[in-house]
Amino acid sequence: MDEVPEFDDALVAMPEDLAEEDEVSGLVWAGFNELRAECQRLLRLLAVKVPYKDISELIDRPIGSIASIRKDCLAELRRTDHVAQIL
Amino acid sequence: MIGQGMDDDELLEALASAIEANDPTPDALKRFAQESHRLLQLRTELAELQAGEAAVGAVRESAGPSTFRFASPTRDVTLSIERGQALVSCHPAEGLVSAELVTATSSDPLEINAGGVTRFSVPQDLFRIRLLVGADVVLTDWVDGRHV
Repeated sequence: MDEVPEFDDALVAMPEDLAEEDEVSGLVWAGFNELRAECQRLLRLLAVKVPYKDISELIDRPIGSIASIRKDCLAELRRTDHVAQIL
Repeated sequence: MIGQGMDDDELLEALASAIEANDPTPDALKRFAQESHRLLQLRTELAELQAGEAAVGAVRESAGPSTFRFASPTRDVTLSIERGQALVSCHPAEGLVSAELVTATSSDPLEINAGGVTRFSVPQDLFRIRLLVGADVVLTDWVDGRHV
């Protein structure tokens, strides 16, 4: 009979890990929805890794300002009640 | 505590997962990110984004006002744009329950009159119209509001 390969526990997502991921995801999503529209738009573009050059054109802001706006918007996200719970 | 010590990059990664779980970004926008294409080059690709929805349609532009016609199996939707103002009509209008203006980052309800017509200011962005007709969703192709 073939030998059954052993699982490496470190590679298997345990239920509690998944529940924790869901909780983080839910809180981050709730915080995201409290942000200003401009921040939501920028962070959504950054989340799918749109290059700064293109973000600059899409949101009509200088390319040199994107990193600063990114930082401000993420700081705003951290300050929301939902995300503050997990940081 | 979960998430403790998350830096900006990690927080953005968590946000990307949250967006993917709750409001997935259109595949075409992801391709845009990966390939760094210009927005205008996306029009054709975005027009193909119809997975799981009830309506599709070819785009036709005319002289004067830009006119887009979207054909679904049960309805025709016409979008006319002139000087930044859009007028949407649905034929036949019977059963039209609601209309929404959808962009990559938002979804806003539109007022519809008894004739199934709605008006709105064209956003400077990609947008499309989602109509609820009876129990069916009619979703137009994407339109680039910056170039109409």
